[in-house]
Amino acid sequence: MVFSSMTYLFVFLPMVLLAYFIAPPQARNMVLLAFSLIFYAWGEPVYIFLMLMSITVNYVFGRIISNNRANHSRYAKLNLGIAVGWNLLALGIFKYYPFVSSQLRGIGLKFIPGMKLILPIGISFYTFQAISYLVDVYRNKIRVQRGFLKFALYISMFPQLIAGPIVRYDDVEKQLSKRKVTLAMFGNGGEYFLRGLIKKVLLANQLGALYVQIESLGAAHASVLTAWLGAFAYTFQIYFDFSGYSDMAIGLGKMFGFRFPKNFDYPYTATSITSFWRRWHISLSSWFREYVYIPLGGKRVSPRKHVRNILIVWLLTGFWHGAGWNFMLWGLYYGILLLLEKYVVHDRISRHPWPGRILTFLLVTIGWMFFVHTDFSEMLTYVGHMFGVGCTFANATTGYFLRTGLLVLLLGMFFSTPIFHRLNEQFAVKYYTTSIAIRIVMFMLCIAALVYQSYNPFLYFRF
Amino acid sequence: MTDREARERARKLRFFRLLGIVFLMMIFLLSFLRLVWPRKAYSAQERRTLTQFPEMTTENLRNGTFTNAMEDYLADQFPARNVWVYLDDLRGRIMGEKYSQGVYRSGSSYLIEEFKRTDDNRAAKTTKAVMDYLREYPDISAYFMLVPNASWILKDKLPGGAPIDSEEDWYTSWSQEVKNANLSNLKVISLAPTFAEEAAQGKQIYYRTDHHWTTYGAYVGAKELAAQMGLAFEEQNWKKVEVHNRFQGTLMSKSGFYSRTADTIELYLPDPDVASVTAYKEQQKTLPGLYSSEGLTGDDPYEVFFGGNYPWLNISTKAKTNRKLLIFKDSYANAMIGFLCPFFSEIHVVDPRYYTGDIRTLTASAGITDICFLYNIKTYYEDASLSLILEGGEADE
Repeated sequence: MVFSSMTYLFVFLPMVLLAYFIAPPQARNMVLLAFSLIFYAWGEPVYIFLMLMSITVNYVFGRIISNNRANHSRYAKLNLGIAVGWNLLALGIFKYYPFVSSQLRGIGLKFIPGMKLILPIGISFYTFQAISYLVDVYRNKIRVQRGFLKFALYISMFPQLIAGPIVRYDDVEKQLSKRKVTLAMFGNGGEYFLRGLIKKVLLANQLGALYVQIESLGAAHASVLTAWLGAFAYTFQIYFDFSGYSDMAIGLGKMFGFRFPKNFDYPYTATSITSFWRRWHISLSSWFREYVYIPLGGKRVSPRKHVRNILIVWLLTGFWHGAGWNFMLWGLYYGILLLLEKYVVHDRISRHPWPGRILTFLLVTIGWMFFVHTDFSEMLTYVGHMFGVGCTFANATTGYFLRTGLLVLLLGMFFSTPIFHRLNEQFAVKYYTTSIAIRIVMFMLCIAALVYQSYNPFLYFRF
Repeated sequence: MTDREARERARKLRFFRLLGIVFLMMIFLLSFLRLVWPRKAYSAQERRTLTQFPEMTTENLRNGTFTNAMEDYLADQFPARNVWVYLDDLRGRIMGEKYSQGVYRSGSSYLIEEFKRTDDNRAAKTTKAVMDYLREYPDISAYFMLVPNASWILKDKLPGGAPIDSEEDWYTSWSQEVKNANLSNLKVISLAPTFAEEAAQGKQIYYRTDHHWTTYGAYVGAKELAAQMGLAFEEQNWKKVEVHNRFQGTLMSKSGFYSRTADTIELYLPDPDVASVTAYKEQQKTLPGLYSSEGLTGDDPYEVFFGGNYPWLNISTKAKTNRKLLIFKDSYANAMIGFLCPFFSEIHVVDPRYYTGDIRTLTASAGITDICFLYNIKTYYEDASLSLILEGGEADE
């Protein structure tokens, strides 16, 4: 189930709210867990067993590692290895096996059985949560969770279950046992949720429709400017889609008394690629930093090893986003950009924020075109159009897309800066009845768009 | 904390408390209304049947059919659905959206379907199949009429620069292909010049909200065809009747652009009446005539013509002539066949999209004197079934 659906808003949400707040405090974890399982099973009735198994395995291994971490560190290490291996194996089979096997069969290894599997929703997210939990237990950074129910809730809590943020155990440890919701906190959650819904339904979906239309243009209508308009449309679409989902998750968390970490921090205002990745999908990049990059030695190693570490981390980041060569290319692209920034550009950029900001945004935009095209020849054609290969600079069709798409693109630009956020906050405190009225109207527009559902994909569903 | 900060904080808390209450009220009020709102079977505005509560079976639950149908059901049965749909359309207008699901919204209340040259080979294959087929019947007079769509004739009404491929360009190359086939028994009827003239005079050739041509458009088409067939078309009297004046067609429901104009469906009845119609689907059944009141009141009022598309229609007329016509057609032809009835004693109408019989047997057995291929360009370009049934016959030989 996704948040931006009628089923969620008008069946699931009222039911879980009613059940949660009617239930006595000691039963509330149970209520949340039960609804989380329903939430997951709604889209993936079969894979619910995979998730339950994952919960059980990680719970048991967490206990074993914790019991042995003091004196028998080798035994603890072995068990950590087995448990992490199990998680990666599950991820490997369901997410990567179909791709890897088809590639191997493609180069003549026909004896390898091909397999078509539907990707279990959210597996990339909850697997990473589980791994971070196990490692943190092993590192003695957190106390093991002895309550099975609480652990199950940590892994499967519906707000962040299927698209993050990847919540670290110590972020929510206390709240799993004791939490309080005030009406103001609930309202604050509502504010986040509405903001996310608006981003998803009113911005991302329209930008997505614009991109799809441009992407499918025949060569006769293509032009450099149109290709860039399309690329910008996708760039904003994926931001509003994903950050909108994170906002909704954070908002729902607040409604039930959880504080999830921030996942986006105006990434398109970043002045360098390094800073972009500190602002985009923060919970993922910090996961890779903590559990891959630093264990490999981080940057406190020889430059050669550092280069190796960066490339490993970014190939993995790319591959995490999907089983496909284009995702690897996309990761590699960022690895190389980050190395260039580190070793060639140094801090020359940070002295000039505006050129840095614009350059970063353009590089990110080009990056998304690697990300979105799983087919390499289509990717080359599209990126080629952006640089004038095989088309003119602008034509009548460019005018058409400017007239029909400029407004939504400008809105996208505006809403991805902190300026809007600041204004919105000041306005809300000053004129709150007007602000409430605006929110009601915006919510109604979201409902209207969902009632007439023409285009409502969810990009991060693949991960 | 200064006084001012404390005041701001208090106001912020008050704002969030109020928002919390409003959020809960919106969710619960709408959820409650949704529960008690009467279910509807049909949306007159969108011209389609609305989804009902889905059937809950283990299989449906397992493969996701149930959950998808549930979402459709909730959206379709949402309280005051029309108001929401209108609201979304309004938002789209304000945002300057002009395109949805292959349909463009024009300034002058016309909805126009796009033409995309996705695969020229498919149409070339169809054309070759038609030429090969006609070559086998040198004694039969053949006519080929591809009707231009609104995106050609009304291209000035399209939003400027809309990335539509030119039907005219494709038609020009198609005409060349047909010319190259060099069939002496084939006449091609090009409607574009006449249509452009009619449109310039303000005549309505196409429905505003539907992808079909109007009966007037079909009348103009029939006149051109009749001239080539050598029929005494001008002597025939027609009685015009208006049968529907709130017609909102498929382009509207497809795109969700709720243009508030409605179209009128007219019929031109031959005076006096001439035909009796037998339709062949799974079983042979006799239709009440060329027009169907059931079709008129159903989901798609354009089905007033015959009540929809049949694989094969056999129309016997009272016309005193030996000419018998075989038509290969799409739904455009439905509005035009009536105009030909006074001039043929029998008309066989084959819709290749549904027809499964053997074409050559039919051609030979029915004593056909004339063959007509009658399509709109878009369907002809996109549909592969015509070449399939024409080639299928060859394979059987």
